[in-house]
Amino acid sequence: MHEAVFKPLPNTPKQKSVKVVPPSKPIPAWRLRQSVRTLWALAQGLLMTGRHLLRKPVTFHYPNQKRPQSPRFRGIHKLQRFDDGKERCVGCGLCAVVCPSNAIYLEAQENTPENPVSHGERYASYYQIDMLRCIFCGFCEEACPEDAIILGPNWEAASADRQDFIYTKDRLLVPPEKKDDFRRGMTWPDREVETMPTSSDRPEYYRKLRKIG
Amino acid sequence: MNLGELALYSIVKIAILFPLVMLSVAYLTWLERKLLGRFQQRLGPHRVGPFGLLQPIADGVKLFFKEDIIPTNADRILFILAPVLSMACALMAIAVIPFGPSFQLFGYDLGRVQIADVNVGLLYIFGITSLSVYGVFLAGWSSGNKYSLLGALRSSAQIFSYELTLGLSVIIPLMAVGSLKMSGIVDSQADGFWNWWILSPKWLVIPGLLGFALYLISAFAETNRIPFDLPEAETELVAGYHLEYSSMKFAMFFMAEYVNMITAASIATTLFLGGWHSPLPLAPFTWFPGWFWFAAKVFVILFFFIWVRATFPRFRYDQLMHFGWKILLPLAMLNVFLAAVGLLLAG
Repeated sequence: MHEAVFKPLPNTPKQKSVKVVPPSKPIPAWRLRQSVRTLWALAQGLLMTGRHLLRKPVTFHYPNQKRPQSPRFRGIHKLQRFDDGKERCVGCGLCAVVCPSNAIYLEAQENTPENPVSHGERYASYYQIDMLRCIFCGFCEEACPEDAIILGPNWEAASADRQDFIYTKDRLLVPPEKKDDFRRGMTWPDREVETMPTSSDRPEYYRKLRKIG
Repeated sequence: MNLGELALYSIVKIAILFPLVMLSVAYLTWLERKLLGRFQQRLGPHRVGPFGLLQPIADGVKLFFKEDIIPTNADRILFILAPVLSMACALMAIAVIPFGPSFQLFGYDLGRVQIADVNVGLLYIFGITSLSVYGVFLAGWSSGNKYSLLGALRSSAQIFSYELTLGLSVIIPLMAVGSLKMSGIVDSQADGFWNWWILSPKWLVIPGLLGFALYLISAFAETNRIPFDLPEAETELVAGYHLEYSSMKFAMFFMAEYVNMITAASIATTLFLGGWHSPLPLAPFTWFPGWFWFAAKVFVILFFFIWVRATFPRFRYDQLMHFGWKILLPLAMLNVFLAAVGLLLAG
């Protein structure tokens, strides 16, 4: 082997030879410290998940257990009755007018003196809500002058058939024996369900969770 | 013992061990899901049977009745061969693991609870477990899918890289015992936990502990577990090498993975944790049979596998290679050196 001879260009300084540094160097101390720290970090991670293993699961057994809703929850509508069993709805149609998604359709009829359905002059002879159109805004409830329509706590409206989402009076009207304002208790009236605390019921429970992180 | 007796005894042992291993595979999946749930403060499976105990059976039935799809682009023969190869390799490794001391059945002494006490037991295990790469790679190749192929490539590169460390970490008990026979390695660890090779009695404690740690880490990589689960990285590769597999073919890969986990844990138990020997040669410990201690130790290691899965994120691919070649392998070599010095000093 021979070295290639380069003629230095005019006006350029002669290149100095570069000293080659041998690659073998002792492992720097910071690298060792870093690996110890890494191992400690891994152990910390394991301890963290280990602590979570010992903690109680927060799982909510949904079909068996249900959370109580907020009193302002807007679920499936209910048509209310007075304590005497008469319907509150007088068939004014304000709910249908205010409904932004045109989900409500109703027909009104005059009450007959011998068999009055409501306390007003008229009542809703046919009442229908299309739950597929409804956006659960609650405007119907706000518009109702008689407090007849209320958005209840039930949200389980799933079905495989679109026809099932057309709710008529047979499903909207509370049964005569249930009478007035089921919103008071805010649990589904004909079903006893076990409930778990929510943040509003037991703030200290959730505060504890947050603290542990 | 003549050849006929040997064959008969082996068949009896296989008939006992095979269903047991398959059952533990099924319930390992249950345990993993249950524990992962608990680690994340969930419940895990709890709907099928008490505590979800029938979940593995339900899963098996479900997988069995799924449609078995072979993609049009697939190489049919290799596509069918790959899961079989995976499963067979995983199961074959079980054959040389000593699960317990001698036992008797109907008055016949059947010898150890070990199907075959080969004199090159450890080498056999490494040969067989290395073969399982073929299952993975053929699966990825024959699927005719780029994601499968990428997963398979990752997997084979990963397994080759970590096989070296695995071999070097296993050398520690091997150097001390001087035998590749699994039964010999177990027998050398009798009478108390201070004789286990994890504490490497004769020399410094470090080579044993470090060897055990290295073995565990490379076992994670060999079994494609988190944090080395790049071959089946869901977030990048959909499912990795078994992406195109469905029905029982998928189930076979799945089972092979869990059998490999059990094998890895069993080897760790046999080599480092005294096999089926009780931790103390005292009364309350010796009441329990050998298989109990073996199962307990395997359980502890499997629990650690699951714990790690619940904790750590996945390696990036270059990190994986860096870690394997530049950190683990030198450490393993250093460890072998330390062990050799220790052995020399101990005489």
